[in-house]
Amino acid sequence: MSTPNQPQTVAGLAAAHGKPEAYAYLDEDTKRNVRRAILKALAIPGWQVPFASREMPVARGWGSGGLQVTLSVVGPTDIVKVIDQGDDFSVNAVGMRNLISASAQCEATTSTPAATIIQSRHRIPDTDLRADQLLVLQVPHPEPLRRVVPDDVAALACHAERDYTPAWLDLYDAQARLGGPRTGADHPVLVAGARLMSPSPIPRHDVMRLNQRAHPILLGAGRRARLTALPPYTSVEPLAFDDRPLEPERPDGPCHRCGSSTSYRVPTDGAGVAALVWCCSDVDACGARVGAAE
Amino acid sequence: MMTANAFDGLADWTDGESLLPPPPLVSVRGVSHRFGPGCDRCVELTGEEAGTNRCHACGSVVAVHDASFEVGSREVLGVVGESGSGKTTLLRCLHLDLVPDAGSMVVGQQENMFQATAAHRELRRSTVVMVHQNALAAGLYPRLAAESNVAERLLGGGARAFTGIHARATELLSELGLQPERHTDALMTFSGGMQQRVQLARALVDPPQLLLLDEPTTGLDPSVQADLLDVVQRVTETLGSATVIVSHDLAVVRILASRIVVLHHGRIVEQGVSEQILEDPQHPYTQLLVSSRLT
Repeated sequence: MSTPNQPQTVAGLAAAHGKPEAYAYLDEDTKRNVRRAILKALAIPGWQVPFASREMPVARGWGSGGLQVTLSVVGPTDIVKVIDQGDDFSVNAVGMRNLISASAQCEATTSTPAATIIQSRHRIPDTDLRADQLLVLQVPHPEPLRRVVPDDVAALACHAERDYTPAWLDLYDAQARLGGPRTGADHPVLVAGARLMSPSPIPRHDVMRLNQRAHPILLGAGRRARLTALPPYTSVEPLAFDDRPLEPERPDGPCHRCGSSTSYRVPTDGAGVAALVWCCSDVDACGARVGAAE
Repeated sequence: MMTANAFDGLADWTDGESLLPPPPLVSVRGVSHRFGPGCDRCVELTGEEAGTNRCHACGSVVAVHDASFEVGSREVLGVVGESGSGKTTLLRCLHLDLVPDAGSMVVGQQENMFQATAAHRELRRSTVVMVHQNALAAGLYPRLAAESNVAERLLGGGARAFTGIHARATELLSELGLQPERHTDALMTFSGGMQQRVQLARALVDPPQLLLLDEPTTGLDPSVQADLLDVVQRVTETLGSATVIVSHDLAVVRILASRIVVLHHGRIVEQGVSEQILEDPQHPYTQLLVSSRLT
């Protein structure tokens, strides 16, 4: 129950306690903790670094990890883009973009080339990022062995011994019984030939684009309180047998809007047509292609 | 191609039936394991004369004390004894599930396996393989396909070519009498006898130096048992590894093992060639064991 005397905003609450409002929502100690975890994660590519995940104004599992990473590194000169499944205008993306740009007094954009920090859920932008851009991915489950070992302790032992036989065995079982990997998204990857990592639930199309990127990728899992990072130019190989390489998704047709046959497309209804059509999942890149054609 | 000459027969004879005993592949020395706090008098208060393996001074159970034996390549050693005699503890030590209080195990060129620096999980895949009495309770993956369970040891060894692994796993399963259409079924849908065959195929896929068989035919009906014994015999002959079989069924041990170790109250009371032990037992406990056999 709020009364007229109680402050209604974070700024008002801070003023009521005689303190300046924290820049970028989080207090300085929290941001320092997250930054230290990010540095450690960058030093050990693919390793899950624990951090003190805070309560955020989004539910855990809704991007609280990615949000904490973005808020810890954002500055007033940054230009922020937030996408959800490739879309800039989904409710969660809009909410988080507003929170970041309002609390950090920075600019927001929907254009991938214009952004300096791109926070994403379930996709990597179709437009290749430059070395001066940063990609932040929201991760629900950072543990790649979650489905194949009984508990976290067993998974930790596997990581410590670099023994990823359970993951290979799962892959073998799926190949033998189903003729291909069981993972639709979130296919495990080997980072620097040594560490198994969950790349967040991005499609196989994007998993295959993770290798040797010019920009750093930070993966934040708020619910599990783990940070993982891929520094620039890291070798990232999807887990696959030598004679059964990972295959990307195969859409049934080119994009209904822009006509691209190389982008990652998803079946879409609505869009002014009666039947189910294939459209680019990355709305911004698709729009740019349509604009260039006109 | 070989040409027939006068030495052919001789070569066969020296290869197969050397007059000298084969050099031991596995050498186990003084393995002792105790459950409980232990005291100075544990050893003297337990064993044959005491008639128990529980130390009444401190309450510890001396499960195995000073067990030493050797197993040669292609040789099958039977370990017999009543329930509680230390068979399982000894086997768990050999399988590196338990690190014994004292003793050593040398396998091939490898030094004392109990103090190996390599991960025991890795050694259990490469050097020591156990065929469990209950496949689903220990070690195997009930939800995965039979052929995946066989492939696990190859994958652990670093094989990364699907076609090769698949061909080897299915070939072995077919050889041991499992129909190809069942190779991709989950292990938990298999009958007991079929699960034992999967475990044997798992051992065959990359011959280990030490094969442990824990009651491989217990709990199966007699016709399946006879069939499986045949397979076990074939496997132990083709593998070339040292085999230790633990069973309370003397008939099984008699068929498979060439030498027998008798455990009683955690001590080895008698060991020797199986015919000798079964026809002319020296120790009173062995005499009791042999005379109580149902024939």
